[in-house]
Amino acid sequence: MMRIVCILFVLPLFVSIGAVARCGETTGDRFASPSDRVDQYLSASWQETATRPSPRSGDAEFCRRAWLDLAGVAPPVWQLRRFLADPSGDKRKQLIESLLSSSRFATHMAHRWNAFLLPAESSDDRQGDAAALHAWLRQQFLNNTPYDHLVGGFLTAGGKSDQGPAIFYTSRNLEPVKLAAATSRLFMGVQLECAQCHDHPFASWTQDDFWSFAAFFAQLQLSDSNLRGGGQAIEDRSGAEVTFPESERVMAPRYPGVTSPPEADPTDFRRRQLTIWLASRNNPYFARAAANRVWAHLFGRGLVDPVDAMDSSNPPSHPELLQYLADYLVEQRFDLRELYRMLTSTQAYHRTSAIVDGQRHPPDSFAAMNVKTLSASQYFDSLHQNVLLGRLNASADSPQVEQAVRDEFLRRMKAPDASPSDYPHGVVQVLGMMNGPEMLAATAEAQSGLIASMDAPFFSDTERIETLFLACLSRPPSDSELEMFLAHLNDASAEQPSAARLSDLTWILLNTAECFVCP
Amino acid sequence: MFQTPVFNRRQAIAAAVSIGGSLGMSDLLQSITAVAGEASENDQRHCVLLWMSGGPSQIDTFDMKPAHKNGGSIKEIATAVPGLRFSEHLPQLARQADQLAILRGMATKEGDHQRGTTVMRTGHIAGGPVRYPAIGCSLSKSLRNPDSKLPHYVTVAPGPFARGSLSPGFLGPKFAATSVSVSGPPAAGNFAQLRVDHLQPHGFVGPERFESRLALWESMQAAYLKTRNAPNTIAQDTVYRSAIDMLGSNAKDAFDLSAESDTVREAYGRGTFGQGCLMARRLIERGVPLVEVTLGDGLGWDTHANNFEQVQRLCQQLDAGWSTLMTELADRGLLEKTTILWAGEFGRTPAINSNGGRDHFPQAFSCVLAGGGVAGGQAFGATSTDGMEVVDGKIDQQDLLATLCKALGVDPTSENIAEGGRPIAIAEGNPVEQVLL
Repeated sequence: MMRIVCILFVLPLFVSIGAVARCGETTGDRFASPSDRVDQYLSASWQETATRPSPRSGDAEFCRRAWLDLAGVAPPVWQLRRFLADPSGDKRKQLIESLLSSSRFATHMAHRWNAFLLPAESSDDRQGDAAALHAWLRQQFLNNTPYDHLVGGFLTAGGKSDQGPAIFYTSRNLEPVKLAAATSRLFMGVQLECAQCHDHPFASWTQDDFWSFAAFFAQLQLSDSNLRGGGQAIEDRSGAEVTFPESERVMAPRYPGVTSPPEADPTDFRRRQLTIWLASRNNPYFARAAANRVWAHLFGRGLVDPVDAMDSSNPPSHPELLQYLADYLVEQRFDLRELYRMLTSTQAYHRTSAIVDGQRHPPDSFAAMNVKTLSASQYFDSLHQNVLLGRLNASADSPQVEQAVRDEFLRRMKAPDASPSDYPHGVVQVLGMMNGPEMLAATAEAQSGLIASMDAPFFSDTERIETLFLACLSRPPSDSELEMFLAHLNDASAEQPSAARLSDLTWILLNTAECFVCP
Repeated sequence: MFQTPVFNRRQAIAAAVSIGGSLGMSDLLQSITAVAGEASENDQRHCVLLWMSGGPSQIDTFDMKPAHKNGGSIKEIATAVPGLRFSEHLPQLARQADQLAILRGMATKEGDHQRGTTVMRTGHIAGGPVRYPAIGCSLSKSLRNPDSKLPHYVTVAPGPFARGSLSPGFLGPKFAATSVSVSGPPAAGNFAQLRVDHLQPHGFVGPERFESRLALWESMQAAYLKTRNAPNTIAQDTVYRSAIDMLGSNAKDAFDLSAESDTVREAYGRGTFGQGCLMARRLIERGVPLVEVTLGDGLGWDTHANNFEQVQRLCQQLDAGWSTLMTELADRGLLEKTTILWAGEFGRTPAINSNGGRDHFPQAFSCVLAGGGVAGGQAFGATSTDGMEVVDGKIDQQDLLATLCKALGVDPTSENIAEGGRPIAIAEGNPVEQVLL
């Protein structure tokens, strides 16, 4: 028996495109200086509440933010030092450009999308297939494949050449119901599965809509071919159908909310039929969901939040802004990198996340930056790069060991669907953070790359402390912090050698709240 | 050794004093207030889940069929309750039968280990859009004392199988179980060694050094939270403080079974399950609301072959661990506050297969409730003479979980909020009033 209670549903667009464009404005004007336009939408929303937005962030805060958001890792110490010392006026712009065009951006985007695409409870024995998906996604982001093409490729994938997306289907056992639910959540920001059990009394979508949508996935099968590399391939074969629950009624594939059947496909490839509608500029949900996701990535929460609950009971905080971003994305032919470039150039993205005059802005006002909890991979990769200096152990570990340690950390810290505005971990995870193997490698004097590197006599204690702060928190210490840490290094009553005291300081910084967030 | 609750509170105060130095005076006062609060209320309820991994045979334990060929070779014995009969391999539990309510009419629709485990632990079929939490997570959330320094839900040796069914689901990792694992096979004839991962600071960090780290960490945290008091940074701080409290409190002692005499340890049984039951007693004494102990590492109860030998061996562990736990809890006045549920993912076929085994059977099997809030000394529901079907008192997993909730004084209809703002009741079934006090 299904016991799902569904209280949310979907209503069509909240704001029409015309409402945003001002009188006499041409399309060209509308997209002439988009970053300014975004800031105008925000400042208009602050007038009513007389909100005074937070000031611009300092360079260190911004550098950490841009690296973690776009490269998925904290800035390397030497890069951060160079950035801070750079006197040029457009250095933030240059930083964003170099990050967006780096392969790290593609890798980080692939991490993020892997997490979205795999089911929360996916088992650990599918590592190989998850890696294939990651590689496939990374290639798309390296090529900057337009988002509609990316999703189209994803939704029609099968066979040997593009086995990457297969795990999306196999991890849901090729079940049309699950695939329909996941697809509508991911690419339309809509929980269509609510209509699985009953029509919604207030919305135009029906149970029939859901089951006809599911019919697009009715013909999936695992292919018999033996693939090298461990991945599985899928293909569509005519035959299987979806029937309406507790009936024999075969559901013909149909787009939700659309009465006419889809145009016939030459080979009756249903997922291709679906893609033609789903990943198109005419689908009112598609660009909005994508733009909202990018906004949530950069600002810590969506204009509609959570990002997969874009329905009438959960209106956007800034409806006109959301529509503008969706239109912009369409205008840019679904160039995601361009949307990132535009949004990271807004004043909003450059504001500090620190509280000024004791006043905390509501997180959905975007009058200050929201601090975002790091994902497990962001934390581990930053630790690995800046503190372990690329090696877990000075006595040369193999790449396989490193990968295993990373996987183990990610497994322990796994937090599917966690919002960056939550801290999703419990006591078990925190004990692992404080006393676990990664922290051991980072703080055991004999093993830690960073501590060993500071052994050289030409370093002063002040320089050592400064390096620790840059490595762990991406900023230099304040005067009082410097004083406090110097006192610890020079504490005559303690009997540890100086390396042990540096180990203490490293441990402290790595366990602070500051080290767990993107500022 | 007899420990009164008063003694425990004193221990807690001593622990609070010892970490007070590093955490500052206000924390010390807070700890003492919290301890005082516990003392005045003292109505903490506890739940013990005895999880039988693999699916235990009902016919060879609590629903004997001696008159039928399906009954097999294990004999039945009388219990302390006239008319109620158990397997001969559960003699100590038989003496405590007045505490037990046998539910003989359990039936679910899942005969697969993974899916059956999910159904029994969450009340819901696997794979729907909502990530339902394990019942242990929901109950520990309802029963927890927010001021306690102890974990709310401890699971001993959960085994590698179907870990997803232990997940806190939409409740979030804050309500995840703290897992106690077995460190290696025990040396011959020795007690099973149980441990909590990462409970000790790294070997080279002594207590003094750890405290000096915490003092500096404390000032860094305070400064950062002043400028960034967002929900995530506050939550990070809160969870860290809980973990640090646990490291510095007597919570850790609960996990140290070497503090018990060999006589007591022996009485529980030397294996993982017996030592796990002993740990459950130590955790309950210290106020932990929910403890789960698993019997049958991997799928031990999955007796497709040689059922009778395997069930005998498993029952010996079950009988010693469970009965000693009830005796010791009763001695401390804690049994009436502790509700115990014995369950696995399903039962086993009444018919005996050609390998002398029994196969998966979700259509008619038994679960047992015991202790606080439970009207013991009875069997509720019945199966047919051949054990093939439920003929009376048929219940499903939702009814079972709702009954457990009520025995614990938790309203099963109380709701938690799932993803997307949906309110979800802890359990949706009808409580079996006949087995409730």
